Order: sequence, then C-alpha cells, then structure tokens
Amino acid sequence: MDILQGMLHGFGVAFTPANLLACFFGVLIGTAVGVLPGIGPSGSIALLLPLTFSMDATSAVIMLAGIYYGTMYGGSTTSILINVPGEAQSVITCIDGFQMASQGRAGPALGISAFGSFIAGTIGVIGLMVLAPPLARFALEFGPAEIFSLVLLAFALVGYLASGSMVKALMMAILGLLFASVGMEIITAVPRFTFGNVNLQSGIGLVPLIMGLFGVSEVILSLEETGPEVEINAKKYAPRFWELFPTRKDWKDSFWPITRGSLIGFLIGILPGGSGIVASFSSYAIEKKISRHPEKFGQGTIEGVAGPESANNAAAQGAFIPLLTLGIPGGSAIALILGALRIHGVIPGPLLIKEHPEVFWGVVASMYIGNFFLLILNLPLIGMWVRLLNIPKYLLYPMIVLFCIIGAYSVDNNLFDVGLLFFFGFLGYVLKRLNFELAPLILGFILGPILESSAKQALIMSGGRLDIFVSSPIATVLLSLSGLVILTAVVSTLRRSKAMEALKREMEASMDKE
Amino acid sequence: MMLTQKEKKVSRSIVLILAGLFLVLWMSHETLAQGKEVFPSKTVTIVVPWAAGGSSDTAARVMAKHLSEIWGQPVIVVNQPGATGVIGSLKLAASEPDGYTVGLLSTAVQTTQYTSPNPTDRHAYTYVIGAYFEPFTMAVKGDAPWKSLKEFVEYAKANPGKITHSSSGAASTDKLVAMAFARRSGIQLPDVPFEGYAPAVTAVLSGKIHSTSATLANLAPYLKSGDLRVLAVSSEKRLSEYPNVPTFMENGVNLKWINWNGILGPKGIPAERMAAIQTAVEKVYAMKAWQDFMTTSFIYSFPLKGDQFKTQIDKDDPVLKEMIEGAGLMRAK
Repeated sequence: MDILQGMLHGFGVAFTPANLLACFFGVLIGTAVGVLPGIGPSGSIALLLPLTFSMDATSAVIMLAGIYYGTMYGGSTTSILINVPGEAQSVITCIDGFQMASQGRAGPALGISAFGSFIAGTIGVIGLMVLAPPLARFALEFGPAEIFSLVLLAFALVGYLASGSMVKALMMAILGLLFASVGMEIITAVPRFTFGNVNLQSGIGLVPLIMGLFGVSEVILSLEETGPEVEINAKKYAPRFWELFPTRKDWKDSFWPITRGSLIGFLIGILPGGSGIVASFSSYAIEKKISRHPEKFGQGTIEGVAGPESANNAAAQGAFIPLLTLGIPGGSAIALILGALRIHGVIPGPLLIKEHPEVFWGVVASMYIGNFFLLILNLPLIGMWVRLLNIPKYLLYPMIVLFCIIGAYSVDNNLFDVGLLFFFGFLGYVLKRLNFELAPLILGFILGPILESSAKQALIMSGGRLDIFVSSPIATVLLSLSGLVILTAVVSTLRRSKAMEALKREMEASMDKE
Repeated sequence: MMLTQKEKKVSRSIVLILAGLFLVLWMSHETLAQGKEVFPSKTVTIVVPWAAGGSSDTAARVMAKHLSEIWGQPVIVVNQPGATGVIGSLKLAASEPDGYTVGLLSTAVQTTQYTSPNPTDRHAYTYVIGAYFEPFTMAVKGDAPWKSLKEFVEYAKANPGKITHSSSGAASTDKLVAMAFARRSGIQLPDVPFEGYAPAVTAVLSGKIHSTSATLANLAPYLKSGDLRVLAVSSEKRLSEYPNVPTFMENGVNLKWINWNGILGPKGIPAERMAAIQTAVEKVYAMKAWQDFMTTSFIYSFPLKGDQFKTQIDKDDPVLKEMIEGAGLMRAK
C-alpha cells in the first residue's frame, strides 16, 4: 500500500465517530495531565488502560497516543507561569519561560509553545508517515557504541546550559551523575549507595527527583516571601486579548528555533532511549550555541521556549516509529501502549503495517486530527492559564505540593518515593538559595547512566578493545563532533579569560592613575 | 435535662432501630461464621511486581477483567515495580492473608532468594494456582549462518570470543539459562546485559550482537517476519507453534528451565477462600478469550495448584540455585 492510499484509508478509520471521540478524549486528558505538575503520561495511561478493554485496538491506541502527545502540549504551562515544570520534558522551558512571564509576557510564551508544539507535532506526523520504515532501520544502527558517542556529544553541550558560573554548572552535572549512580550496577548487579534499602535498588526515580527539585523547592522558596505578594500574586494580570499571542517579532525570532527543534526532537525521539527531555535540552543548548546573542538566554528570550517546546513534541511523534514499525518501545509510556496492543491481540512488530494497516494508518491519521484538537483546545485556554497567576499563592502552592505527591507516588505506588520527593524539595531549595542552576543536574542524572551502560556494553561486545567507538561511521562522526564542541568551548574560555585579564590590568592601571 | 414527651418517643424509636440493626448485623455475622460467606465481597487486588505494560502486567490485566466479570466485584491490578520484582514480592508477603490481596509472581521470586541483597523467601507465600509459563530460547538473526544449535556451538568453539550474547539484565533468568547453556556445551558466551527484553532483542535485530535467550513472546513478531531465527527452546517438550524447533535436551544439552507465572498470596490464606480463587481462575482458563490471549502472547498453560504447585517449585529450586552459582551471581556474603 502506498502512502497516499494508506493515508486515505487511515483518515477513513480516524474519522469514524468512535475514533474521533477517542482522539478528543485522549488529547483532552493529555492536556490536563500535562498542565498538572507531577502527574505524568505513564501514570495516567496505566490508569486509563482498563477503559480501553471495551474498545477495538485502533481506538485504544488512538486514545492512549493522544494522552501521550497531549501531555507535551500542556507541560510548558506551569513551567512558564510558576517555574514548576508540568512534565520532565518541560524542565528547560522554566529558564526563559518563567523570565518571560515575570516580564509580563506569559501570553506570548504560552502562545509560542502551543504553536511550536503544533508545528512540530505536524512535522513529526509527516515524518512518521513518509519515513517510518527507513528511519526505523536507521535507528537500529544505534548500538551501544553509537549511543555512547551521541550521549557524549549531548554532555559536551552541558556548558551551554549554564547561564551563570561554569564551575557551578559542572558541579551540578556531577551531582546529577552521583544521584544517577544509586542502585544496581547494570553489568554486575552490584548495589551502589543503596545502604541496604530495597527501595533504592532500582535507583532514584526521575519524577520524585524533578518534582522535588523544581516543584516542592519553589513552594518552600515562596514561604520566605512576606507582604502583599503572599495574599495575591504581585503580577495582577488582566491582559488584552491580542497581548496573549506572540508578536510578529516573536514569530520571526521563533521560526528557526521551531524548525530546528522539530527536526532535532524527531530524530532523538526515534532513537532507543532517546526521550523528550534529551530532545528539549539539546534544542536549548543548540539554540544558545548558534544564537547571535547567547547572553539573552536565561533573561526571557522567546527562542529558549520555542525550540525546546517544539523538540519535545516532535520527539513524542518520533517515538512511535520504532513502536509501530519494529515493535520496540522507547520509553515507559510507549511500553504501555505496546501492552494495550497486546491485550487486544495485536502484536507490534515488523509486520504490523502489513497485517494491521488500520492500526498503523488509523493512528497516524488520528495524530493529524489530534494535533488540530490540541491547538484549538490550547489557544483559548491561554487566557485562562494566564489568569491562574491571580490565584493567591496560599491556595495555589499547596495544590502544587499535593499534585507532586500524587505524581511521585503513582509512578511505582511506593510511599518511599514521596519521601524522596521531599528530600529533593529541600535540596532544591538549598541549591536555589546558593544560586546553583539545576538544569545541568538533570542532564547529568539522565545521561550519566546511559553513558555508563553504553560504554560498558560496547566494551564487552568488543572484548575490551576501544576501537569499537570508531568502528562505524555514525559513532566516528558523533565522537568527532563532541571533540569539536569541547575544543571550541576550551578555546573560547581561554580567550575570554585572557580578555578578562587584559581588562583587569587596564582597570588597575586606571585606578593607579587616580 | 428534662425530655419532652415527643423527644422521649423519638429517642425510644432510635434505640429500637439501633437494636434492630445490631440484630441484623449479628445474624449476618453468624451466617458468615457458618461458612456461607460470599467471597469476594469487596475489591480484590492483584499485585504485579513489574512496571505496567510488560508481559506479566498484560496477563494480570486480562485476568483481572475476566475475574471481575465472574465475581461481580472490582479486581484491580497494582504495579509495584523495582529491585527486580523484590519490592512488590516482599510487600505481597507482608500483606493481610485474607485472599483480597494476591500477586502474579514469577520465577524471579525464586531467583532473588539468592541474588538480591534484600532476599525474598519462597516459603513466605500461599501458592494458589499457576498461571502460565514462558519458554526461554536461543535465538539468532534471521540471516545468520547457523541453522541449528549444533552449528552455533561448533562455530563458537572454533572462534572463541567472537560471539556475544544479549540478556535482559545482569541477574535475569534468561541470562542464567544462556550461561548454563554455555557452560554445559563448553563454549564462551560473553553476555551484554541490557535493561529489559526490548533493547536486548533490538541488539540482535541490528546484527550488533549474535544471540539472545529472550522469552518466546519477545521474539514472536520477528520470527514471523524472518528477522530472527530460534535455534532451541528451553521447555521440556517442543512447542505446538514451532514443531520444528528442538529443545536444548534434544540437542544433548542438559537444560530445561521455564519462566513460571502464578497467583501467589501471603502465607496463611484460609483454605475455602483459596478454593474460591482457584475455582474462579480455572473458569477464566476455560474461556476462549483467555486461550486466544495465550496464543497471541506465546504463553503456555501451567495448571499446577496448591500443594502440588509448591512441591514442584521446591523440587526445582536446587536446579536454579546451581544455575545462579554457575553464573557467579550468588549475592556477596
């Protein structure tokens, strides 16, 4: 079946009332889950899985997929408004998104992330439709050696995440690596830093860590505030309608970040272990690296919102390629969708498109429709979200803590994770007070284990020979790129410190004159 | 405090109503005590010590759906993953033995007796009824030169260190099976542990790793498409879907081990409640929907129950212990 015929068939499937309803319901839940901090797509898909028993396989996946990519839309809302990410993928959006909101530009920030998400989502679906089979084979080329090189490249970009002190950023990245090393070592199953506690054997969960560091800590910080802000949020918003949307200049600034973010996100989403969070971090780092005014990042620049928010949406669509064409789930939420298909007796694998064309094309077509639904849902909501800032903090913040607790607990139904949430909440508070940036910590926490396991796996495969890291063109190119990034960073730092010294001497000389 | 006439009347009728209520409660309690209890009379929980979406979870959810139809009571699946199933398994052992909390446990609860720093105890459970078993395999890429296990072993002997194997985890049961195969056929088989079956199978699909021992369900779609080929299965007999695939035993390798899954509860579930669960679960097994699910999921009937089930597990335990010792995975003392 060629693509055109497939799509016609797919739209025929997706436009039946039952499937339209499933799609709408999915993206609606997804938006809500995205907005609520702490509650993530995996937990909500697991919760709604029994609901799909009475549906057919196609409707079930249409709904669950809708929840998954729907969360990527809503995740940025609380990042922008109150500096608390709705999902892990939107952590990086806090940096510039919250600054924009503080400058009274919450509307354009929310607007550009909705439009960016829509554009990226659509690009992702087109990619899924046209390139799925060849790209899936490309993803197979990423074995441990290639993954290692890719992650090393992502690590090399860590320096670009820092807007303040580089030393402090690196310290945080290392702290992230340390937290990631808790749990059973992957090759030997030897426990590390578990202190005999069974709950630490599988390591520290991402949700309690992120929601503690970013959610609970923000609430603790707000306890320090006194005066009228406590009663009513200082920034009383009553924006006019057109102020809610990005200006023409915003669009001009965001065009390329959205395009690049979509492509980066889509490619990372396809890879095994690639996730929306890696995609959004990479997009942010790359935008900052190639920007003509990198100093504006962290001060509320719209590129810092547009790029990452597009990247995580495109990654969400990309993640369906290995699932639908090879039967390989990239992450926990996608694994749940695989489980839903199995319950319905549809086993995803290389033959899915041939044996169940209605599932593949129906789901792809539903994603077009779902993206439209999401845009239509989200644009009118912007006005409402912005008014969220008018809710007194003494009402809003306890609710945030509540959602963080529910979110941390619901991942594994384990109370220990709620304890971890508060541990990281206090840690986040202390680190924020000491002016440490937390983004590099997250990057270290996520990438560290992948770097370690892929290096060890590659070395077992090669019998200990290091040349496996340059044995394929992909690995070689990625490895050289990371070398290049590190080299340019070192050179520019050296130049800057020389310039600083010169400046210092000049100042001293002028002071001597006085 | 003086009560008016009307108030006295009201308070008297309240006393009467309360007395009546107590009588009804007492009588219903009596009938319960006489063994006419309706079990279950509230929500039943099935603990799955693995993440949602996996094969155990899927099976538990399908079972829960049918059980709740039979019982007319909600049956919910609660995932308590972590520490290779130890967290959920320990919690299940510590839960109230009233029959309302059971779990879908597997061979892992036996393995972690010896491998986990926080060990499980296979004697801490009531063995209610077996659910299904999954055979392990020896699988290679579809276009690999080895057509049989014998050819594979010969190649590995002639080219030591050339062949690599992928497993779903450092102390996973599929790794134990693969390592036992390597020892018993005298070959070197360096193992690369991944996190779960999906990446382990992917590594073989891409041709970067030569073989894997994943359970059949994880290989089935690729066997059908020809992307993978299975050289041997670890079950006692050949499997109906793959009559041409021999067992390890037929190949002269003394190795048979399957991944069993079964309904276990905390120790001390009353006999009549256990019987009620067994009866309901057997009804599910007789359903066509369950049999279809078994076929599409490549899982096979494991019908042992009660003492028979426990005896079989105890009988096989030394075999598993030997496999763990042989692979060098006994936990450090």
